[in-house]
Amino acid sequence: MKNQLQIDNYQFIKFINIKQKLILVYFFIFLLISLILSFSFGSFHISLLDLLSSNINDLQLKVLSEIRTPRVILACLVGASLGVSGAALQGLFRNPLADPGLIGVSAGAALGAAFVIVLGSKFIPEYLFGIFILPLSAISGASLVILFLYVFTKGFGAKGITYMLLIGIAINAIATVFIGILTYVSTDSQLRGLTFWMMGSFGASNWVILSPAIILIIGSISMLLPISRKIDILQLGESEASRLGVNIQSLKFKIIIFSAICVGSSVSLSGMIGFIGLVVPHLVRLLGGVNHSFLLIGSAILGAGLMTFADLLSRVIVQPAELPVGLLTSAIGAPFFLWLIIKIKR
Amino acid sequence: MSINIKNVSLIFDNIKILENINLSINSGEILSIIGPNGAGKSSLLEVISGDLLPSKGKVFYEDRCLTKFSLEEKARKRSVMSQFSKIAFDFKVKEVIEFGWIEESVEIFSHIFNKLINKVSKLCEIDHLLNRNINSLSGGELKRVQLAKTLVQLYNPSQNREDKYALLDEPLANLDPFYEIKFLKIITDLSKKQGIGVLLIIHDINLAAKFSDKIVLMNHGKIIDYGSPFKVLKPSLLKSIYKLPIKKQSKPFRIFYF
Repeated sequence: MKNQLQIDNYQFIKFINIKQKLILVYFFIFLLISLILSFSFGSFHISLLDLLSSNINDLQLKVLSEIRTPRVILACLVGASLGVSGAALQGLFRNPLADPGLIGVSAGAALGAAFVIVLGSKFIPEYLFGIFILPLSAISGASLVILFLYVFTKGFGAKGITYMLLIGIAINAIATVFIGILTYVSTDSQLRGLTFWMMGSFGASNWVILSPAIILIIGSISMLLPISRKIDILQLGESEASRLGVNIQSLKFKIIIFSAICVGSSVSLSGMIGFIGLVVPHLVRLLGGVNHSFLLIGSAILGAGLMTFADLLSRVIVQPAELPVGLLTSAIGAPFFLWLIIKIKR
Repeated sequence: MSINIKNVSLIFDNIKILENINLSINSGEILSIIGPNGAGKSSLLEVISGDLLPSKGKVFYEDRCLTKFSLEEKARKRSVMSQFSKIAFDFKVKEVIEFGWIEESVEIFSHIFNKLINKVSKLCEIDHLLNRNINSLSGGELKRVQLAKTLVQLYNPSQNREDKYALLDEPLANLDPFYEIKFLKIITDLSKKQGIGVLLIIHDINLAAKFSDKIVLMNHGKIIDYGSPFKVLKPSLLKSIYKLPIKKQSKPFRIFYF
């Protein structure tokens, strides 16, 4: 019994079969390749050979360490967090079409950000939070939504999952209204900032803003992975899972809180990036199997890889300008989503 | 060892679902509950399993009140088999059976684990289905998977054997006559060879008579009679409850209701 904690935390690995472990390795290789390419390509090119032999000059080093690395790490983290939270929420709602945006957390974060972009300078003096004001406000928005969900569903427990989904839809609608109002009263330059933020980008990343997000996102993902076996058992239904010893209340609580932290901090730093949370878990399921022990960690790695790759594309497609990465993921993700619905309907 | 149900009542929205139930389920015995639809059989099972809290009265497992058990302790003590809700993702049959494994670790018992899954799936005749998608199974096949999962949960890998209980809510629904008898034989082995106490909700009166040690007859949330099959299954009593013309044949024992 002395190493019970260890067993509890890592037992999900035992339910990943050999084929799935191999697929995880492939995902990881894909992630590595995306990372290396991302470090190399962009409006400022650093040759692959120089990069790998670390034969780089001062300017290249500065671009690499100050601009590109934080950006690539942010893309990687956001992809992983959206992938994992999407997989976990689909498991919780026992619905393959669930998405981190569905419970209203993204919308809450977006409202928080829009508030700062449009009204920030009027209400909050610049020196108070400095560059943290946008992420802080977005995270507050996301947390407020979680608080609403918590109060309305009496601790994520009462009245079932459908009720929570409906609350999420209502919150989404309310947030959209307020964002609409903010858009209406904004000046031209604010409107531009708002629009670009909504489309999502990793361009504004730097180490100062990134470091708290690294802790939050990696922390939440490492809380979600160990409960993946319980999410599996939850698929039998709530009463069946509780008869098998799963504490449903605490499981729901953990999934909601940690997914929300993931999504909230991602949205706060990179804006709205659609469809990654929905599409990545499906790809992972199609490739390797539906058990969450594999799905969660697979979605984290593949999400990170795809996001890094998408960010790379967004930087090189229309060089020297760049495409908002959210636009790119939605452009690829939305048709995939449509195909998915048609496939499920059949 | 036994489960003891003492003075249990269950009231929902001022409707009495269960009224003053006293019952015990002994290790190594099959106790069958029969009664018309809406008699409170499944509610009673849910109270005994700990899913529902009784409004009055208490349920004891070996003299320890059920409310004092943690979820994990309950999962080790009893296994419930009831209707599955639809599973949203395409799990493999093998994975669903494995959900019954409630021990923390697979590593320590890894050898036993694989052996057990194989043994149980052979027993329930689903070894050829193990890699199939759970959502592609027929109703009867699904029932066999559920029984296998229940058996996995009842398995006790540790040396200190404690008594376990199986609570089975209409396990025979959707089964053809071959599997009805097969299931009842598996359940009989469970109780007689492994000493597991079985609570069985069943509709077929003749099968209940043949395979049960004791029978509980319920109606309107109350226990009408409780005891050996021959004591409980009296035509006059059954007639008043099922509103059917009931006749009894003594040798071999049969109840005719049409």
